Amino acid sequence: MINNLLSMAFIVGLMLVAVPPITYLERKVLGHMQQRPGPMVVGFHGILQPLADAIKLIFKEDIIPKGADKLLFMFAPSFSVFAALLAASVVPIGFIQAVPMKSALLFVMAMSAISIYALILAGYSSNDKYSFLAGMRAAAQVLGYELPMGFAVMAAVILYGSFDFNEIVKWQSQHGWGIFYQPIAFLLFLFVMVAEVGRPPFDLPEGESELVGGFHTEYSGMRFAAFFFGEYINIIVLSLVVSLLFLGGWSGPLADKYPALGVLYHLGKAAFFIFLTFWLRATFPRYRFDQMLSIMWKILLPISILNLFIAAAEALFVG
Amino acid sequence: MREIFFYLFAFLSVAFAVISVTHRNVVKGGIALLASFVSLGAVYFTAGAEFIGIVQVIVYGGAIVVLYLFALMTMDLKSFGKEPLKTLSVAVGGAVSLVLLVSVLYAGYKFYGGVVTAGISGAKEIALPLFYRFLLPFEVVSVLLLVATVGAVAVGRREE
Amino acid sequence: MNVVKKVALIDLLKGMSITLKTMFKPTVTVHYPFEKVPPRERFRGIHALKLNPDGSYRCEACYLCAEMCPSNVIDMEMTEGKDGKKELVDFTVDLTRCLFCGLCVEACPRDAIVMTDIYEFSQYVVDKLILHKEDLMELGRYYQEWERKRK
Repeated sequence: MINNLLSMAFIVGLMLVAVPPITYLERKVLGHMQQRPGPMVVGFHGILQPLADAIKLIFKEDIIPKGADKLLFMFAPSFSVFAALLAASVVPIGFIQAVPMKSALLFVMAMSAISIYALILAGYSSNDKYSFLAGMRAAAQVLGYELPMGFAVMAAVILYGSFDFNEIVKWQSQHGWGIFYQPIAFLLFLFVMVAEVGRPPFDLPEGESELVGGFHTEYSGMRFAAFFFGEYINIIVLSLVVSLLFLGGWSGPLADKYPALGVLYHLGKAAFFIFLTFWLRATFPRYRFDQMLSIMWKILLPISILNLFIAAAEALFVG
Repeated sequence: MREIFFYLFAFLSVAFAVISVTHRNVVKGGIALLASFVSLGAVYFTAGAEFIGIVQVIVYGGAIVVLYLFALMTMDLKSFGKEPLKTLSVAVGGAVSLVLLVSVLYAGYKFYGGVVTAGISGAKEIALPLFYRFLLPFEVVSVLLLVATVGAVAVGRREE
Repeated sequence: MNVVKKVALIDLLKGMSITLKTMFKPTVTVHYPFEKVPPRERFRGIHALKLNPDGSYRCEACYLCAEMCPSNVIDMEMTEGKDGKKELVDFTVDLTRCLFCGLCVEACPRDAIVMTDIYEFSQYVVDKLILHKEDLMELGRYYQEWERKRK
């Protein structure tokens, strides 16, 4: 029990503490990919930039627009953080497991499905055309990516025979990483993971070039920051999940003897995927709305269904 | 502890369901419906049926309510609130819900005193009855849904 | 071939490799308030009034620059001096309206009004953007020093 509480504190702490450095790193990486240095002024190479941002956001005026649905408007940002943290609570990092759950993988999916309501509610309650359109886009996007994501995860689950992350990692430490068995599911999951956290090239609900700021147009101060906390926690959680599902999680050389090493392995693998989201953001322009829908429904969905058969065959031969 | 949460979420689920029906703002009604579904998922959790609880949240919370809200947002919401209640629709809706209520109460009465076995927490326990014992009804329902989908596409398609 | 390209995500990977390579290239940014790009030699910054070697104004208050100015920036005031010559009382340049076209400089028959390379002249008060005789003289000294250095 105490172990669980400690792990819970660790995971929640990690999620909250890791977000500011990640925003800093993102700006640095994006900058260098565009041949500019990114934040440079505050502290050595701008390392204190997140702190400056936090101070600015805390002291900003909290504006609630006229005609906004006050209750929902205030509720929406906290919902985003809340859903992301709930998802984080069931994801084990090495031996640190806050909430052991048999269907942990499904729980993560459920929470990510719920988290989209933060955007929809924000869009609806802001009393602003742009936010409203962004909310609609978020709704359409969730309908698009839910199915391929479900099927991609199912392919992996058929192979491993369990929803439990511990079982999944155990299977992979015996048979080898899942990415070698299920490369298609891995790619599919990467695609929909980007759509799920609403990052470029699938950042349609944000769409700053056509929707001002998208769903957070009317938000300011800490409520605005809460959306970003939710988004970045979601990125961390999904990076942890994808490294658990396809890259063997905390398994690796010597990880059995020293569990702390396993934690490092896992965090390192997740760090790569976090970097990948930055990388994609620097490389690709945003997909148009109809392009996004047709990619999801016409390409990824059929592929993911076909992939289920491959997974079933593999499960027969390997499992 | 578990029972407290069971009754708490059961109460929340019913309360939100009532709000979702009675609220004049349809979008808020939809959100109350979401809250009701999620609380129902939590009820399943407290009853030991983890898997069903999560699937409840994914399917109803994640997909169906999003679809509802998406459809509701495309409509003219302001004209909704002003529309007076029609006697006929209230009567039909009331009758249908009365029938449902009676059947639910009857099921509860039949089950009264029974003990929930905690053996329904995994995917296997759901899949086996669904795909073996009740395969025929399951398939019939899926064909029905397919018919509904085709019908919706046929109705929604514009004349060319 | 096209299908293979699409399936293997070749185009996407190409793009990603470019961004990755760019990441390790040196940056090209100039950190403006700390580093400055020197202006070009013929850059047209804010105005200055040149002085004669003996310290008197070169300007003869002929009004040609004020006539040439498309935005009515320049205004001057003059009286008859003791020796019967025109004497400048005040010479104002209203930078809030100036578009830095340099026509006043072209018009000046005495090479009195010139443009310096100063481009940072923001002020908190609008009145400070209206330069008077003394300010322009100060700038003229700066300009002449700069001119000497350039030679």
